[in-house]
Amino acid sequence: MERISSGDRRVFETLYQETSQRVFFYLNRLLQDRSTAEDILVETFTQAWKNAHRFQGQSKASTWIFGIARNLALNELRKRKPVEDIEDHPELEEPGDPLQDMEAEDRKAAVRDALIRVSAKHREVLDLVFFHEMNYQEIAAILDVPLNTVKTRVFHAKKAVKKKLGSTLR
Amino acid sequence: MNDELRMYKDMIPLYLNGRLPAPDREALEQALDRYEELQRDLAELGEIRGAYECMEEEAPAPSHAAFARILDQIRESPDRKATRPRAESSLLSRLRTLFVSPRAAWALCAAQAIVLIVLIFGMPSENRFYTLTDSAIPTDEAIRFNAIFDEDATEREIRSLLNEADVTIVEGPSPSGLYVLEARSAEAPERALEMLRSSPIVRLAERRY
Repeated sequence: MERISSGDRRVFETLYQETSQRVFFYLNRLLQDRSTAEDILVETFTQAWKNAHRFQGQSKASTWIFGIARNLALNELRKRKPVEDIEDHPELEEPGDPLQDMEAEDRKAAVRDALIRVSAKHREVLDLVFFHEMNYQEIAAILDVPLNTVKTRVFHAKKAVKKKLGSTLR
Repeated sequence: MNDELRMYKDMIPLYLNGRLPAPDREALEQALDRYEELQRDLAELGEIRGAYECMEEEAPAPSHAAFARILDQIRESPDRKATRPRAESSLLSRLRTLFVSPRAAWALCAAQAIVLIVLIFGMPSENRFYTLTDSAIPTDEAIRFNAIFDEDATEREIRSLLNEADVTIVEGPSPSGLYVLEARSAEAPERALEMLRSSPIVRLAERRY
């Protein structure tokens, strides 16, 4: 990041190539809109370039970029609906279908569907653990919450997925 | 729920994503035999983990235009210029850090003192200064002449005369055409002066004191 702050575009491009797809996935899942996700991705990396000198090296550069992406995405969500918050998506509360007799692949698809229908807050923490394979410290840095909140949120998210499935997970 | 069970439950997500340190992995695997609740959580979170398996392959990538847009924004941004001062301020802050460090500051003082001592005691006793162009004669002992050449004299004729008399131009011409010449050798200044005076292209030649 130090080299980026001194204007090294090649290092910046390398960082973009290494992290952009994961950041884009994260934004797309959060915003549920590919076009907006790409706009926010562009803004995220522009901000990263401009503010590279503020990076203090207390986390990985990718974690820092995820944090920027998250803040911009939350601003976007607030713009869409002034009272809407990542913490609260009541339109996603309808129950899902029972899964007892489903085949494994169908079941997997149902879980993925449930992951779309849970709140953004729950989907986000599960994405960070299981897709981005981050540890609790990294997630706490991105979400800007205490470590214990991350741990609790994962289990609340699991409960929410279960509720969406309308049955117990295996 | 007891604290031990809570602790193991928290380990499960990291166990599944491969971020749990080895000693904790072993402890959790042993605890799974003791707690049915842990087995249930592992199965449920494992199923969620499984749903993510194919996502990476299916994950949409940003368009190729995205990076071009970023570069455009960087170029257009007035803040872009701020990166240079940032680099400079980074250098300044490093220098500041160097001087704030007592050890580095004392080392610098010691080095400066050594340089001063070498300069003071290493100087020659006589204050002699030499020209860069002619090391043969010390400046304060140089033999110089004032000379005015004929207006029709060519550069080639002047050059030939100067070489023959073994003198060189050190100053001039002044607005009135006066040159200051200097003998390259201190051995025969009178001969040089005589040669200058006897040359048809020299209107004036005299010793300069």
